[in-house]
Amino acid sequence: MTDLAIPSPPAPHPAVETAYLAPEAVLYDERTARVYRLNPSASAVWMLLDGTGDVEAISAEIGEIFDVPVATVRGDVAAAIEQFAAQGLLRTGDEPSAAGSGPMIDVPDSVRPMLTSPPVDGEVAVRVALFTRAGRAVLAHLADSVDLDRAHLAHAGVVEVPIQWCFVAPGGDTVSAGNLRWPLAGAMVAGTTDLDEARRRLWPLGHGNRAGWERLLAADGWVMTVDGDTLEALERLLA
Amino acid sequence: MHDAHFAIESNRSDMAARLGTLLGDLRAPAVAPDATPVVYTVDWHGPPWSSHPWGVWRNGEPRATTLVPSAVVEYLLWEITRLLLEHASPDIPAYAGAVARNGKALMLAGRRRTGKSTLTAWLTTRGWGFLTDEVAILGLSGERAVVLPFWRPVGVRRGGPLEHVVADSDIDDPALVPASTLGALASATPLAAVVLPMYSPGHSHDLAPLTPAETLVGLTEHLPLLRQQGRQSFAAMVRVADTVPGYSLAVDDLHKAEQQLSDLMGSLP
Repeated sequence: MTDLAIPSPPAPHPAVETAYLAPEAVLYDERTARVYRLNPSASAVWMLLDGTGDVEAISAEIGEIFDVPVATVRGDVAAAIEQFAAQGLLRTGDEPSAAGSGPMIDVPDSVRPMLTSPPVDGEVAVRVALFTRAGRAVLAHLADSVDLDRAHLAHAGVVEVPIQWCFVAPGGDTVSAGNLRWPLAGAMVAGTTDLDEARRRLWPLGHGNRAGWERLLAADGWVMTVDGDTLEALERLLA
Repeated sequence: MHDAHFAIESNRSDMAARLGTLLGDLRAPAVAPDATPVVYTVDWHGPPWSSHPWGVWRNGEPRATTLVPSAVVEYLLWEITRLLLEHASPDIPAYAGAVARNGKALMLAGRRRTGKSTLTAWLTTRGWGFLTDEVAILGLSGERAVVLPFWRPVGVRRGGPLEHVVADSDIDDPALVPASTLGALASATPLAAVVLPMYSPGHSHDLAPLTPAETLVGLTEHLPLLRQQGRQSFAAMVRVADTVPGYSLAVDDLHKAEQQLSDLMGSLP
């Protein structure tokens, strides 16, 4: 073990952008313009770094997801986090926190295509264009709320949620509004009837339940809101 | 050429004529009639005995003033490429060749000596539309990524598979030929696939599909403005990698590579 200052609980550095392209995460550090491709195991650890869980908690979550004893994964989780720290990819405590900062979250513009891109029928597993922590949190909420059974995965390839939306400028003025059908959980698409396999592929969506889903809908300085009726409809659908 | 345009002048008529022929494909109408082009001055300014008599100025500012004759065109092309990069944002430039067929663009991203230019030139001689052999500009304002053309001259090595093009050419410089000499020029075309070629003598393989993560990493390795464009550039490549299939291709036999790429393009929507 090297003598690295690893904050606990660990969290990604705000300068690091995450793209989750199942089953791998690709990171971009805007300070160095370096790009990191993580293997699926390291991706699993990375996607759980949200500044709320320590090594023990993350190990427990991974153990649960992959159905293995915590003791088996604890060392690997710690080693992965240490490597992230060694690369300067983790928050050191001096940066502004993004976790738990309410609905006004900077989400890159690229989230928008994710919201509007059509599902791909018959394609395997999850295709989520870009996960930010806020995006992960809301998708986690949605995924936790959906019964991911074989029927969902096999039927038509996608579960869609009708959403009415509006963009509200920081000053409060509504700029635009419309309707879209959001492929739920970033397009949960069929292609496997193996529930265990689906679970592994979908696992990043399933962790945590600590943020309201509207947090995803913050994009590029704008805040996307949903009216009560739509929210109610959404909750009924997810119930 | 994107929204940058330029003019070239020289105090030597033979150089002016040569550049006019070589860079003819790059001449584009001004975006705005009153837009002022960047003016490159390519002058002989050395004494007769000098071995480095040429210089290049950009809008009167010296850029390189001790060029040997054989380096003039190459240096000027670098300046023009740099001009393109300066005007690229918000689009994303990538070091890549690109060709088009049936309204679909294929991007060949790779470092120098990976065979992307040779493959691009080869495909152009075989009926594919030429978009670029050096810098592909990806326009991402619409629903689909679009490859914008950059019709710079193509480098063709003597002794290489395209030597016949050089031999047939009446261009003075044997290493560079206008792209239109090779085949048709293509206009902006929606991107259908990304291929990462690798010149691999004796190891020609089929196209190997890449995961979206592999495609993303492969793309980001070839973005000259990744640092400057930052998250915008990365996010754009995420979108490309997530929506456009990526492949690796070990290239040995150009005929076989062309057949594989033709089959690929035929199978893509």
